[in-house]
Parts: sequence; C-alpha cells; structure tokens
Amino acid sequence: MPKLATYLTFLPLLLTMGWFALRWSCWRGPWRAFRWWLVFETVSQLLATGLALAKVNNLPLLYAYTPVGMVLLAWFYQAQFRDFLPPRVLGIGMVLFLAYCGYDIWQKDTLFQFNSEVSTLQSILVVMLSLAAYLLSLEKAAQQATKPTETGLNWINSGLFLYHASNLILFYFGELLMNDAFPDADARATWLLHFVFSAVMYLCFFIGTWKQLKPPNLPKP
Amino acid sequence: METAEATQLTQTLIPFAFVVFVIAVGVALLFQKFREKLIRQRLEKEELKNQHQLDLLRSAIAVQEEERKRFARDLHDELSAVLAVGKMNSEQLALRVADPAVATEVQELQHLFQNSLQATRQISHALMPPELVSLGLEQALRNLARRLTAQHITPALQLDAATEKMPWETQLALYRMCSELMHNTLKHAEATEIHLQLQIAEAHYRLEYHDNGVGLPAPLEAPGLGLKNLEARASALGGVVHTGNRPEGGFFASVQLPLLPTSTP
Repeated sequence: MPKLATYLTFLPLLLTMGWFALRWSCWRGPWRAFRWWLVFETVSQLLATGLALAKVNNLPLLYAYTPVGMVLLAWFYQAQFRDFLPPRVLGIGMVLFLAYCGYDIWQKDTLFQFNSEVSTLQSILVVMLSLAAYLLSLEKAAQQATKPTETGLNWINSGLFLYHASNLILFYFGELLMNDAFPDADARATWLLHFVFSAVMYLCFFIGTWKQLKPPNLPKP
Repeated sequence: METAEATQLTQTLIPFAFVVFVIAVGVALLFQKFREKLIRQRLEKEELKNQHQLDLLRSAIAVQEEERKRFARDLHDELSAVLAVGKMNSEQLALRVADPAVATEVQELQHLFQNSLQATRQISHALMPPELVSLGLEQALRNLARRLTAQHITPALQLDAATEKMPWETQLALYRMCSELMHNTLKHAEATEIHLQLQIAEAHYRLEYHDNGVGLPAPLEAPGLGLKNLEARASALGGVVHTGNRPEGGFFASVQLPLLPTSTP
C-alpha cells in the first residue's frame, strides 16, 4: 500500500515535469525558477524512492534536499516579489537558513537522523512566503488593468502552502516518528498522510502548469 | 519513549495534521474566492468607466453634429440671405451707374458677393450635406465619389446595404467616415482608384474601403487625427475600425457598426 501510494504520488509530479521539459526554454520569471526546483524535486524523489526500494537509508539525502530546495523556492518567490521586495532581504534570509542547516548538521543531528528542526523551519518560511504571495496576488488582482494571467502561479503557490502548512507538525515530530519505539503501523500511517499531502501539492502543480499552458498564458519559444 | 506513548502521539498527530490540512485548504479557497471577487469588482469598475467614456464620446459627437447643423443652417438662412441681398443691390446699382470706372468697381463687388455666396453654400453643405438629409446615404456617398472623379481618381462603389433603413446616427457616421477616408486618399495616398463597399453581414453594417495608393507610412506611426476620428465615431456607435496596408499595396479600412433601431435626423 505505501509503495502504491508512492507511485501514485509521483504521477502528477512526473507529468508536470514532462510538460516543463517539453517547453524547457520558454518559461520566464518565477516559472524559470520553479522549473529548476521541479527538476531538483523530481530527481530527489526518484533517488530517495530508489534507495528506499533498495533498503538503503535515504535520510542523508534530506541534508541536501532541504537547503537546496529552500534556496530554489526562495528564488521562485523572489521572482514573484521582484517589484515589492529588495532581493537582499530573501538573500540574507537564505544565508541565515543555510548557516542554520550547517549548524544543525555539525552540532545537533547526524546524517542518519531526520532533520526535524531544519524541515520545520523550512516549512514555516515557505508558509510565510506563500501567504505573502497570496497577499501580493490580491493586490495585483485589485490594481492591474488587464485580467492577470497568474492563475497558474497561484496553483503552484497553493500547492506549496498546503504541503508545508499540513506537514509542519509531522516534520516537527519527524525525528520522534523515526524512533524505534514507534510501532511500524503508526509510523507508516503518519508517512502515508505525508504522501497524501505530497500528492495534493503535486496535483496543484499539475493543474497550475496545465492552466499556464493554455492560451493566452502559453509560453512562446 | 514507550510504545503506548508513541501510539498516543500518533493518534493525536494524524488528526491534528489533518485538521491543519483542512484549515490550509480553507485558507487557499478563501483566498481564491476573494481574489475572484476582487477581479470581478475591478472588471465591473472598468466596464462602468468604459461605458461612461463611451457616453461622453457619444454626447461629444452628438453636440458636434448639432452645432454643425445649427451653423450650416445659420450660414444658409442668414449669411447667405444677407449676401444674396447684397448681390441683388449691387446688380441694381450697376444698372444706375453711368461712370465706367465706378461701373467696373461695382462689377467687382458683384463678383465678390457671388463668390462669397458660393463659398458660404459650400461650407454650409460640407457642414451638413443637404443630399444626406434629403436623399439619404447612398446618394450622398455617390456625390462624394463623383467629386473624386474630378481629381482623377476612379471610384468603385458597391452599396449592398439598404441605406434608407439605416438609423440617422449610422448614416451620418458612415458618411463622415467615408468623407474622411476619401479626403485622406486625396491628400496623402497618390492613388488612382478607390473601392468602397457597404453591406450588412452578421448583424452588422460593414464598410470596406481601400485605395491603390502608397499606404500608411512604415514603420507605422501613431494614428493621425483623421484615423482617430474614424475610431471615435465607430466606438460611439459600439463599432470597430481596422486600418492598415494591403499586401498588394495601398491603404485599407474596415468598419463594422452594429445594427441599431431606425431613427430620423
């Protein structure tokens, strides 16, 4: 069952990636940043699944997945906030985040532990950024003379918001959930829920990309 | 951690995470609804603004036409009458003058009255062509085209639309637009032919105009006053205008006006 859930989760992710690959050089602005995050996400998920299927502990991947993923997401949001937020604000934020990641791995966690604190912090940051993106989108909707063609971006933002807001609590207790004291069934149920949230996020990406690929939003070569 | 404690934590964690998920979905949906409402409100506001601008444009054109009509009537009824009396008096005076030098001056005065009368009539007709009022659009357009023949331009008119059933506003707008287009051809195009077609298609009056002249300058500059007037007149009646250069050379204009209920001048 968890294996099936994993495969089903990946279906919208791979489809979205396929759409992005088909028009690889056409994406502009936030979509360009999101494109790289999507590639990173797909490769990471495939690698993590491959390792899990081979019964190899894939937790060390998290120590690259979390900081790199966060930096790419910050790039994605920076591209959306371009006219509203100086780039150095998110830049400084990311430097501090990366410093905390380094401190976490150096002083607190080992490579074979779940990085609860860093993942929780990442989720808090993404929730804040996505809420800011919501507010920005409302302001644009109230001011722009033409109907905004940003529905696709809103779906992407919603996907990230739903995933990180819902998983916040799971990430916070993630290290505990990996504890041997946890019965397998309980841990599995918890991670199954995580897969459901992932599936919702990827579905939002799929819908967002699909909407963006419809005229007049269709990126031109 | 004991297994019982772990199970209890899981039993709390899963519903809690699910509740957070539901709240997050609610936030996302609420945002979406709010955003749609904002967009709808903005579009409604823009629609109202556009409607207001259209109303202003319509009344500006109506006032302009009314002024033209009044001015044409005043020229015809008052100034022309005074000039006609002046001309008549000068003719009477010419009969009574014996001195040849004075007679020549009186004759010049007569010519002056005659020319002024003719110019007044021309201005009056240009302001509000009597043939448009009395004979309708078709005849007025044919007269306009006939004037081009004198300038060595061959007109080809195809008037398929029942122009006599057209509302007065549409007739007047089409007449003014054709007049503007022909004037532009005459002034700028160095053309030898014009083609004008008026028909009813898809619940619209459609005017197609083209000449075989030099066309619009390339790269296209901002539209001149004439083309702007054309657009304003079409917009005031809820119509559209497309202008440009034809691939085979020359200028084209395509005007589409909605069918409106019949009205009189």
